[in-house]
Amino acid sequence: MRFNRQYKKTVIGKTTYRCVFQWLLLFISVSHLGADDSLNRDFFVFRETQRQVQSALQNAMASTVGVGDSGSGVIVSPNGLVLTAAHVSGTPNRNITCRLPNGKRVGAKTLGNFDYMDAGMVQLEGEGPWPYSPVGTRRSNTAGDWCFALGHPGGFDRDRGSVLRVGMVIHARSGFMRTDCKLLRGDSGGPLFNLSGEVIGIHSRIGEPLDDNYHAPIGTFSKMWDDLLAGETISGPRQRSGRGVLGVSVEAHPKGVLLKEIRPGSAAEEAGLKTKDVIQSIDGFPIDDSFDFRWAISKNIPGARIKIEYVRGEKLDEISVELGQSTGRRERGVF
Amino acid sequence: MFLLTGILYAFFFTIDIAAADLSYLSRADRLNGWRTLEVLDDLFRDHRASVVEILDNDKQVALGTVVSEDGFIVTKASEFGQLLEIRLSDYSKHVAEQVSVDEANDLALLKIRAFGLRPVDWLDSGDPQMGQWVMSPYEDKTQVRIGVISASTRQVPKQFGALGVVTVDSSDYLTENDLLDPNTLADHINKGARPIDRWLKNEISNGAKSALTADLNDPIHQTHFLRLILRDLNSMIFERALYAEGRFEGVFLSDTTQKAILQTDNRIRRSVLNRMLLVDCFPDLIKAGKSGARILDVVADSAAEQADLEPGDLIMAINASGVGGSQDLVRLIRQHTAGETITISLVRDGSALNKLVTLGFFDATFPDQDVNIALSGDISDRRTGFQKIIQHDMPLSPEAMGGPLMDLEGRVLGINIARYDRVTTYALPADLVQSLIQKMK
Repeated sequence: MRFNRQYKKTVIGKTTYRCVFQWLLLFISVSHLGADDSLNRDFFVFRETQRQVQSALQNAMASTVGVGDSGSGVIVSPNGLVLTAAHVSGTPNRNITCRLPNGKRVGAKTLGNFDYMDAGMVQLEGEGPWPYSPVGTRRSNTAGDWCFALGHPGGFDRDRGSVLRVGMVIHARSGFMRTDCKLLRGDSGGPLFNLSGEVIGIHSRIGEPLDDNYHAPIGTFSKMWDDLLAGETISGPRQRSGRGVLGVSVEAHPKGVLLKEIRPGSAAEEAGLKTKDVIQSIDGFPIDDSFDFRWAISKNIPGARIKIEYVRGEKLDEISVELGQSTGRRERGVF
Repeated sequence: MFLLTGILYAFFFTIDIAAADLSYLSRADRLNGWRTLEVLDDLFRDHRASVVEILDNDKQVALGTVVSEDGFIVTKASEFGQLLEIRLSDYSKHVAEQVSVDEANDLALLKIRAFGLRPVDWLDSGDPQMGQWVMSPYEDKTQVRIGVISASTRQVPKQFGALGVVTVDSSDYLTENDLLDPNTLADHINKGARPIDRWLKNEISNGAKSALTADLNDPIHQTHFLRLILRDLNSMIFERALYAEGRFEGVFLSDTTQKAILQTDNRIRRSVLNRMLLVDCFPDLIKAGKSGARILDVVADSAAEQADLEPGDLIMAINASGVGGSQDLVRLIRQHTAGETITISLVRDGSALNKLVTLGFFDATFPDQDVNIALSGDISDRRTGFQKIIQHDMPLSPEAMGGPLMDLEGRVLGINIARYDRVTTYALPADLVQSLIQKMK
């Protein structure tokens, strides 16, 4: 009884402490959030950004070209390989004209095309070496990073030249990158740079709000590089009725995608995949986000065998799965 | 207790990390979000007094920039009417007098009766470098926006003007209303003209004559007859032209024939009929093969509406050069820029008249023509035709034009003069504005 009473007292005491601490800590962490160092901008941050943009600008401008009738692109190799949007380059192996910054017209041939991620390539004809911009690494961008965009909004205009926009990455985790570098028609296919002057995205599309500007991330290009260079038309996900289904839903993970849910009786369950497994690649194609995952699964027909590389706990493993049929029902987020 | 505290620390620390590890940039943290702009507000505050609001009937239509202590203010000219008021940063209102307007650059110089105003500090260091940060007051003069110099400083030629009509080639749109009615026809015959069908009966070959003696209401005979008319198309038109000039007795198509042609879908026949009908009003143009463009629709608030053009009017000439058709009208209009006044010769209810029209801006008249404009939000009506502009990417509204374009130290590089599209705003450079002010004073 005495023990009990004391116990109760202690608990009450601890609860009181807990409340005080909770509020105190909440206050500390909230005030800490407000003064977040990573985003605290001042005059000097602006000045430093300007210095970096201006020092990267000359080379970036020299490698930004007009592609076709009203698109843009960027030269990324001394032999004249141009990255652009799939909806600008169009079908492979066509002859088109590109415009250099000085207004000169150059013949070019369209290479591969990945419509699902709006990634396209074009090869300039004629003697190099061409001025070019280096390509950034696959997964280097986070929200809040400074970036700048070049391109020819409204079409190529020699007197004006390509138009600069400076802004920040709003979203970079899944599928298309979003920035507040405002774009317009004609910018399509143009480059998005980080402050070191590396290409980190290709302008793809916009929405009506000024901050709705979407870019195909450079990761898509690097993962598809050989296929695009070979002039292949890479198909997107299949229609629902004709696509293979693994039977899982996923969520973002720093190293790939994490299996959130596994449907009972699905191909995934049969193959022995478990929730919390992190999928890293499918058939050798590196998986960065659910956008990649959706494509890598849904481009296959039911019954196709795919090789999945995944991490369970600490262990990297690989299994082969035969994809199942679609249930025919519309299920969002189940692949 | 230590354990509990530890757990709580761990809990909140995780939240903190999660918040710092951003996968999504909140609206406030973006380039023109409020948290970013807080920094700029500090930089801008000292210069707020040099920015004024231009009010037209109590509604803000533009911003203005104070350029002298004794009340001279510059702004964008085409945004306001006659009654002007200016609201200073201390919210006092003043009646403004328009001193002068530079049409070529759309810059207006205003004057208010006030002393001790704070003029802007001009920055004269040549053309700005691309990538330089700039800031400007937004619509509400206490707010500020940031952007960069985004393209080369250059001249922007004026865009072609727009009339604001939808037209078709005149012979494609003939109705019974356009035909010569029996009374007019009788008048002409009294004056000595001959209906062409009767003329043909006398002049053409015997073989054809036999066809013509047949009943004209019989479709087979009609077709044959019309073919004969076409054969002599040119001579007929010339004769009709001479008649209109009073030098020839003239020929006409009878009532029956006119209606018969109207009911066919043969373009050439309708075109002949159309030219026959028009030759009275514009003999020279018809001889030159120009048959005009018929107005189907007049765009609301367009130059055409202001000049009282109506659907059904037939535009025959622009500044005395003949209009061959719908496409030709477009070509002729595009030779003139917005703001230019042109003479339009037209046919209404069978008689010729001239109208003076001051052309409007193409994009303002046909806002749906350009997809880029649909995605640009509000833009300025007058957005082309400047001697020299600085281009930047600040998202300003048309009501923010006339305000200063500043570097981050508040020195003025230029005056915002046009919101061009989603990615572009133009400013007149400081050196140009200063020389214009000298001229306008």
